[in-house]
Amino acid sequence: MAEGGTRPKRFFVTIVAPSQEALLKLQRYDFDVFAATSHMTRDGEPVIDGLLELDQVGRLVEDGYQVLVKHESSARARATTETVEFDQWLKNMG
Amino acid sequence: MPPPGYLTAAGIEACIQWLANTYPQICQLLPLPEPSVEGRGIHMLKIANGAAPGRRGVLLVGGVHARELVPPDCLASFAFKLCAAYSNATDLIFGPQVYSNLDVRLVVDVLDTFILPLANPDGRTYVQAVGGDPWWRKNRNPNPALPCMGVDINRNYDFLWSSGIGTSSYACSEVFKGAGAFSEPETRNVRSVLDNHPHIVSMMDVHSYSQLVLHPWGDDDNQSTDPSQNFLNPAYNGVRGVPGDVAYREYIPADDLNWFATTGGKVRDAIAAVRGTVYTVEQGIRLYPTTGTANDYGYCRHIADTSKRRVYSYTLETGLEFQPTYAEALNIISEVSSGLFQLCLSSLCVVESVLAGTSLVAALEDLRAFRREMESTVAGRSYVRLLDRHSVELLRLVAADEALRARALALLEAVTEVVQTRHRPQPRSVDPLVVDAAEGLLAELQRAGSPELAAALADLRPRMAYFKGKSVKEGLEAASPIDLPAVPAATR
Repeated sequence: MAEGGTRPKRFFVTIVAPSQEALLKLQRYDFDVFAATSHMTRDGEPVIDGLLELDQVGRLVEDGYQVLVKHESSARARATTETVEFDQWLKNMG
Repeated sequence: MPPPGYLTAAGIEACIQWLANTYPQICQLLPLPEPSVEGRGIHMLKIANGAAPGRRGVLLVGGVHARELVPPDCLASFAFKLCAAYSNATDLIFGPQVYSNLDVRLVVDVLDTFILPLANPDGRTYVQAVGGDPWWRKNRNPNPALPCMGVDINRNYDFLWSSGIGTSSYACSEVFKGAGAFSEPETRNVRSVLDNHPHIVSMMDVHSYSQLVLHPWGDDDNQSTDPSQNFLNPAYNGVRGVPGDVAYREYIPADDLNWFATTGGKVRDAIAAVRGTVYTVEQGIRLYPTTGTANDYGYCRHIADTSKRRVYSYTLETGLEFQPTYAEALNIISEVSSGLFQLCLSSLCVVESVLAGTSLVAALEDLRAFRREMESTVAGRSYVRLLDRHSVELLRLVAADEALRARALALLEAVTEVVQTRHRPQPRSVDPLVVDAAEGLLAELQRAGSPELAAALADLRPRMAYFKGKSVKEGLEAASPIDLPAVPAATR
């Protein structure tokens, strides 16, 4: 994603691929999927988590993937709200 | 009261500087050769008491992916607690999991623990900045003439970099692999650490998320039967990267796979001991192959260049999200720290530990060569595996009993003298008295050890007789292997 301008909202999702081959083909989209989360569910469905914009979700759905939208990303962002400098950290480490 | 939040990038740097200033006897701040793309200095800690030659090293890396907030804090906290426990002569405590001060001393006195908590400081700074992107993953390379910034450091190593498997040549991709292998200073820094500290034997690259302990390979399924199917063989270019097929599987020696499974299982158990979280030990590929990663790079170095030492490399994926609440992060830090300490313990070698600081250290290279020769025989391999499997317990027993250590040292001295003649036209034979001494030492360890160790040594002891009056080579040829129990499925 290029920087600058207002960024569309992103969502944490789980992508269910129709086959293992289709899961591998996700690479062609250059979407933000998390390789380490890929696994086969108990029902034998290949799945992987990712962070997608809504139009990306739409493209995948059109192409036969199921996409479970879990959270809007800002609801999970703690990078700026839960931070401390070292002095405070050290004081609390006691 | 626990800290109320994640350390800033500057806070991580301040933390390791403070540790080096506060514990100068055991903590050294080592600058890495290259600053980040934006010019930030990058440092790692070396935690060690003493610098006797022949020590082993462990490398712990964090903060490669900017949005993964837990790993840098975890490594900073781990370093803090390890230094404090050693300096205050206390146990190392992670919730209900307690490592004795003897273990702490073993690790600090015998092992060099290198901790690089924040490999990508530019990325974390951007993630934590107001107006930054909390989900930024890559470094902050401006990529002149390309549409987007940043290179995925963990796709920039030279392991099958050209293959494009699990990577992208598109600069806006989160897995953009860069202009070339090692194009990024942050990647070159890790290579430099491994090059300049060739005694490093294991490595953990800490990431988030998925509760996994991953080992090589990441590009394709593993196999241990056809060495020609390996990442260096151009005949397989274009065939790799499809899990589940039979066209190509990446070769990994069975003994290495066994080490990864056994040690990964111990790390997993150490994590679970803190609050019951069960991580999965698994091959890196899962369903989605990758290349250019630190995990595969660390392990492949000795295959690509046989003059390099084997580094058992893992990736640890902490937790279940990139940025958990800090209250949950503290729980994750505690359990993962337990796993990291277990990796340190598992990386110790009982022989090297006993010899540390003695004149016999000079013979270590030859002893390592002998170990490799042992591993080429069925019996020898089983003895080496037995030692590896029980190394931590053996170390504890020997470290806790000065008389036992003295006996072990005397025995190693006698054995080394014989081993060093093994390639001569007329090698020395093993004195029956030395065999008796070995048998006696094993009996003592058997008495003091756990039921598992006792059973293993009960199997091993009678096999000492094969070496009586023979050269070590003849002894190994005559010896019968130990039928080691398989690694329990629960620890795989």
